[in-house]
Amino acid sequence: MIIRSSLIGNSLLLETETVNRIRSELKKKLGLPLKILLDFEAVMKVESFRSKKVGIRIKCEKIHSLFPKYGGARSNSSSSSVSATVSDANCEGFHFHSSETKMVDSANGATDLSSEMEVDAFRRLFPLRFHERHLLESVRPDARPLGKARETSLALGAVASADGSALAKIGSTTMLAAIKMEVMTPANETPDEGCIAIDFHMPPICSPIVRPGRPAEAAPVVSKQLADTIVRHVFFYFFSLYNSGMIDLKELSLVSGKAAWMAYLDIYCLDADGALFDAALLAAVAAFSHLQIPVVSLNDDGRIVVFSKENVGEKLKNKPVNEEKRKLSLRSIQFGLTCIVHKNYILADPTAEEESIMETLITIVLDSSYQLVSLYKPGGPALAYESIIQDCIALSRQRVRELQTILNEAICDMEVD
Amino acid sequence: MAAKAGAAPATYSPSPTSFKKKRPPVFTDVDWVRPDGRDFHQCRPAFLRTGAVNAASGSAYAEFGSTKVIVSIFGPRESKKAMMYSDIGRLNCNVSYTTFATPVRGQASDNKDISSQLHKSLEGAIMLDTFPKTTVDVFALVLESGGCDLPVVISCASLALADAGIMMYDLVTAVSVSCLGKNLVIDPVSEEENYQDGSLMITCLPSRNEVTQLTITGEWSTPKIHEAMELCLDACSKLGKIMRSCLKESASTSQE
Repeated sequence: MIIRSSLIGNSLLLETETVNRIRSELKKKLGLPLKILLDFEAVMKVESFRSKKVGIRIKCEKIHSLFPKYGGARSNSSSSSVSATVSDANCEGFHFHSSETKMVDSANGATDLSSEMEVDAFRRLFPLRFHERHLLESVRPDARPLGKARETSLALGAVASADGSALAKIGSTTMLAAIKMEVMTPANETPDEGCIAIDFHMPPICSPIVRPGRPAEAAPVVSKQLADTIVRHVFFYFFSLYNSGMIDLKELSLVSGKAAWMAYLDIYCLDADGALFDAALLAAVAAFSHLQIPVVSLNDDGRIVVFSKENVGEKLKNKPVNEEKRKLSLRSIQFGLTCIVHKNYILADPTAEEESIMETLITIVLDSSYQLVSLYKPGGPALAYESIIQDCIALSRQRVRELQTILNEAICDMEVD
Repeated sequence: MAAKAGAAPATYSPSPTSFKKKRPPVFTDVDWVRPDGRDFHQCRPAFLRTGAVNAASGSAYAEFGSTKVIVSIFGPRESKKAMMYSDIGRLNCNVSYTTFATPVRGQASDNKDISSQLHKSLEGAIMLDTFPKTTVDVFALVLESGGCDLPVVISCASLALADAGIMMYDLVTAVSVSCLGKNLVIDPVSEEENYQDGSLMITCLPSRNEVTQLTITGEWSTPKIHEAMELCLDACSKLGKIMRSCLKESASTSQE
């Protein structure tokens, strides 16, 4: 006869409250009351004949274990034994069919609220298993299919004091972008080019991780990514600085060699729930398409001032410098999509929770003609195969189409107003 | 930005920015119209919403004219390690401005001062003993500053605290009044604040009729102070009602 046995030990994390209760009970004279619950499942197999699973449950109660009173260091040693009183302990055993108990469990679950609590506890204690269980069913905890991005909305002109602004919302991730135009003296090497300064901020209101005085790690990363995407500089082999970004910096020139626009683009994250870069890029692009450059003129001191109609009569010589250049022409409009790669699954547009559990991210930026602009895969435990990257690009193609209609609708809405 | 940011050329805004040192004559006359056409004793329309930020345990958005504010509440959560043991909870307040909040970029006023005033006005209304050993963080971001920033931040913060379920004796409402020549104007805009002779701000618990903070700056006469305080308290109780109805509304929509 062969007895095969396997033991599964489930270790459980205890809540602090429970630990505190146990700690106080350890000091009691009676000792710590223990309850032992053992579940066995036995199967008999004789050649091809196989019995049903028989469940045996042994329950032992009223065992009082006394713990030695010396310090923690010694009680760790394996040699010390611990006595327990079992005088009034009672044990009982009974058998059950495992299939039956399962049914009972599920029946209970449907009626009371405790099962709801358990799902929530399970989500917090075993986040990875919780999510993998969902992935098996090709669905995500917020009921989205894997490849679908969250609902996205866009509002232009949200900040009245800025020259161009937009509020972008992807799910609950919210970004507010605003552009302020200021005047600068262009650098000697590029006398007829303006400049764009991009800054991404994560104020403490946006996430419990950020605290005042301790900026979020993600902020400078996203800031750099945005700058790289919007204003890219490519060195050509004959040493000419060729700018291939979204905006032609030459359009920002006012008076060659004397004055040019400096566009300060500040993006604030108001609510951080994953896919920060995608939302920030969308807000930035929308702010640029909303941008209205103020009409300015050169005054007698050589400074650029806002051209106002009141002055027209008295100073005819101060003509506006940029009457016909009120809007920037965006050479290509770029949209981004972040995907999580986990095993064989690709999850588009992750939430903050998903990002914290499955750490491999791929961010793809495409322009409006579906050309690949950039691709970030900042490390992560999962390796990306070519096929996965191609799948991600296919997903972002779809997303670009969606975002383009959203942006066009937002621009139309604004023009109607 | 990458290559050029290092150079960081000095820039200036083309719009006329520096406020004229002399205040315009309109403000000294007895009869003048406020920049936004309000009566002297009329507040700006208030727009309030709770639940603006999902990541926070409670939040609120407030818009009074062109002043726009978001407040998030985090906690009660573990106090910083360096903190001493405390039987009662702690309140940590921080106010920051966006770079585009003010007409001139990055010219926000001193935040530390506003943060500590926010702390002082809320402290008295919160039942700190309900969350011992922990900290409640109140973070505010002024999206656009259009005058009366601090009172708006305070009212919005108390709404956010209520949204987060932090126990309070009452909602905290704040209103300020500016003294301009012979006139008292309630809920002043930035332009009026720049030319004011004095200002008075009250934060109070409207249904208990208690004042948590009273700030008076500038030139005041005693009867003027009385008049201003009455104006403020009256406005506070009205604002309290608006905030209460906003909370009720959000509670009833969340139940559905």
